[in-house]
Amino acid sequence: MRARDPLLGILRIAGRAVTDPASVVRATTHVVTDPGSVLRAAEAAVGRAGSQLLPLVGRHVDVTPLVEQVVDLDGLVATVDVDAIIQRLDLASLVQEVIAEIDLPGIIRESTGSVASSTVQGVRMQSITGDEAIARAVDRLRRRKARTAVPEPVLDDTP
Amino acid sequence: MTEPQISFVPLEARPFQGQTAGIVTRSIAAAIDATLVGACVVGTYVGFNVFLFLINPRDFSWEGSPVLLSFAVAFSYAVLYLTACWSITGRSYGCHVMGLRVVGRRGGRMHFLAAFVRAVFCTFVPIGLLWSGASRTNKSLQDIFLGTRVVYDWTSRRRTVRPLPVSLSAGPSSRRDEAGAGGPDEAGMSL
Repeated sequence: MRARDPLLGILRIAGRAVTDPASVVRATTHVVTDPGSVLRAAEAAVGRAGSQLLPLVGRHVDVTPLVEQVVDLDGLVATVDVDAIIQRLDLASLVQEVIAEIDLPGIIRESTGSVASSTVQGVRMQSITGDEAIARAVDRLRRRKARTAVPEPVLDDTP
Repeated sequence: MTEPQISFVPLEARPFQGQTAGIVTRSIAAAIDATLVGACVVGTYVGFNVFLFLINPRDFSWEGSPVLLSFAVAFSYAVLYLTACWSITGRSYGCHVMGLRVVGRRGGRMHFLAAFVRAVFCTFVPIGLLWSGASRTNKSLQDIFLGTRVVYDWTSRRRTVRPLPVSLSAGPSSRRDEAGAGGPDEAGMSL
């Protein structure tokens, strides 16, 4: 209320000075004996005004590009002690969560189980190549038959 | 909670995943399974003789096995083994080694009864596998009659397998592309 209506505050102080002159003397004495209190009061007032003002500014002004222009973010980030941040993190629980999420045991089982051995992979690929070769050979054989005048019967493998 | 999007299938093999396997791969898988069953039969025979020795070591003599009985045991083992493997995981050990999986009509795991019928069919008519070499859809006689498929599946988990969008020059042959029209390859396959 004081910050919003300074005139009312001044009038209140003037009224108090008229009704209680001793308070003016006490205040003056306080300022003389403790000059730092004025500074502290001023800081508190500026802080209160800033805390109310900044959200208003942020609501109307896009601060991000402004900060990007003014502040050297790379330089700022370079000064950050990343190791200290990492030490504060609970990496063990983080890793456990990641392992649980990606099902690492399943991945290991998969990678070491069915297609692990390179020898087995080689045999499988060779056999697939053999399958393809036989399929091509049979196809060629059928085309030769088709070139003869006899129409090739359509093979229907479905039961 | 999302599934990890990491694929452990090598890049060159990804286009084949979910495609119907050819005769070479399937023959090797069948040979591995046959070897396994044969080893089990031999093990049973040896175990039986060891049992006889332990019961009566003095008068022990190595018991021969009639050929008919040996074949009966072998066929029984093969049917039991293949039924259990196909109905539980969709793959026998041979299929596991060769990265294959047997799927039912709808692309999912086979029903126990269907697995049993297929096992009997495969055991007693093994030559039906040869038709997969001549078939456009790489289907054996058993697959044609029962509506099953044997697909490349290098993953160990049962899940939906779709051919990944990796363009390689050595992709699956046109035979399968022709066969895949409207088939499970197109719609993805629930493994």
